[in-house]
Amino acid sequence: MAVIEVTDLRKRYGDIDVVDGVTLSVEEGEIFGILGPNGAGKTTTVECVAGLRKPSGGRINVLGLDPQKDVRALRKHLGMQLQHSELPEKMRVHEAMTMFASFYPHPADGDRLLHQLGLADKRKTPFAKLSGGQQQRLSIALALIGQPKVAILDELTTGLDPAARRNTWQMVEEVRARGVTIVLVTHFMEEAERLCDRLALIDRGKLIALDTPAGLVEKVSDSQRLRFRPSKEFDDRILTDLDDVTDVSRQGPQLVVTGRGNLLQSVSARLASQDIVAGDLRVEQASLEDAFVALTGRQITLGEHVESAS
Amino acid sequence: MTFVEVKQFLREPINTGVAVGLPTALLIIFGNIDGMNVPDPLWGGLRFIDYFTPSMVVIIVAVLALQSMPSYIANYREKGVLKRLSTTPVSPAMLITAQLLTQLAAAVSALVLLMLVGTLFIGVPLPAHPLDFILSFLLGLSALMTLGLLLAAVVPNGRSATAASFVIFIPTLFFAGVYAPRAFLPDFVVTFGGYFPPSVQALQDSWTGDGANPWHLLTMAAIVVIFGPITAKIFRWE
Repeated sequence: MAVIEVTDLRKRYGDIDVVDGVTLSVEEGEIFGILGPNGAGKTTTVECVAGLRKPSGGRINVLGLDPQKDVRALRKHLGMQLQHSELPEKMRVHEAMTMFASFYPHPADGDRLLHQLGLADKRKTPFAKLSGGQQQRLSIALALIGQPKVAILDELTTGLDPAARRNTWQMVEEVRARGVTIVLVTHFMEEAERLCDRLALIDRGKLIALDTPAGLVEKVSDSQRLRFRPSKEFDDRILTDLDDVTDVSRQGPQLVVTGRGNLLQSVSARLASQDIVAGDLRVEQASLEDAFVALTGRQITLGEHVESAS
Repeated sequence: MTFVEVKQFLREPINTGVAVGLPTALLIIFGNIDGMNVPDPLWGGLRFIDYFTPSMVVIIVAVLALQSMPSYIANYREKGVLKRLSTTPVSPAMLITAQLLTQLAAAVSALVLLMLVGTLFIGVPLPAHPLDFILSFLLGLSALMTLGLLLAAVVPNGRSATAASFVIFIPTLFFAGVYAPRAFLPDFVVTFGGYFPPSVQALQDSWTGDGANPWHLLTMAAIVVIFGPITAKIFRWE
């Protein structure tokens, strides 16, 4: 059963279509990822779904409700973690939990949530004194306090260290195990690959692909990648001339050749004919990142920039 | 339900601690300074302290409505607190309502404290026209609160709210005779000051005079009626 249905969603700011005809549906109980580079329109899309922004066009249905018309009813069942949202500096953790719990008809057990998120010993700590990771986890706790049926988590692990990131992923899986449908906005490939049942790839406001992470990789799995250190300098055209080669790029002393078919054989033969030795040659399999590059024609930005949503 | 939410907010120490603490501290300081000033003439036959007490009321109102409240609200918006609340079943307007009620409670407590300390230790009489006084106080506070909210609506963040508020804060105190007793100010300044929120003249007339001038009160009400809707129109949650 689809919990969220988005049909031809559009959001225009001035002359720019930030979201340009996105159609997708999220099934009950899944972890649905929305993946894309910064500024792709991910946040705007989920903010329309949550009723925070008014779409310029298209239809949205969340739990049978229209986020614009039935906003009050929706708020009770939808928990949202915002990308850049803080609490008053002096508000203590347990106060925030109590206050947010009072907003909902059937709140979750706040202490249990804090415990699960490793914040149990921070109950009396003011918000400003929490570390970035702790603030992020509190923000997740507040998104879940109302026992939502759907939780939207926007850039969940941005700013967290790797250990905190893994803990958070585990927590998301536990929440899903309780039957909560989760929409995860991210620009981390690893996060998307590890957590999501299905992924929507969004770039420049458009839905590029929608599939399981494995399915997305499979779409481009005929693409392979060779990585080696050439024994001498040469013109890239030697390789780009080959039919099997789609791209040649340099990463420091290394050359990365992407292509399909008998890539290894054709590249080796060509290099041999030019008396070039390929040192440290490695053959790499396609990853989600490759799928993204192949499908959008550009690299996803891994930097943690501020996404300009408005 | 609204009431429960407001109560919930009022329990938050951030709202109550700073807002009530600040004017109380101010009161003690001013109370001590005024203890040195004792009696008589020049002040329309009153003691200076009696003449000056309405100016202190203005300080309470101005600090809360122009300094404390706008920076709270601008800060809430800057930090995304208002936007965060709009994802819950509670409207961010509730937070602002709670904030205003908190400020009102703080203003009333500070006023009561001022009057208690005034009567018990310094012999300042209680307002001669209590109804007029309550009306003057509430209307004056509302007028300044409206301006404070307008300020909160146009500034980008909490720090600039505090800075920008001085544009209104300084003249407010000036016209209230905080910098120089109003008896020393030119007549037209005093007259104009009566119409400047929160109208120290209305407070004074109802305290030690013959009752508040309705025009002063109407001006305060007009400020709310005119600037209130403008503020509501331009206010952004994020």
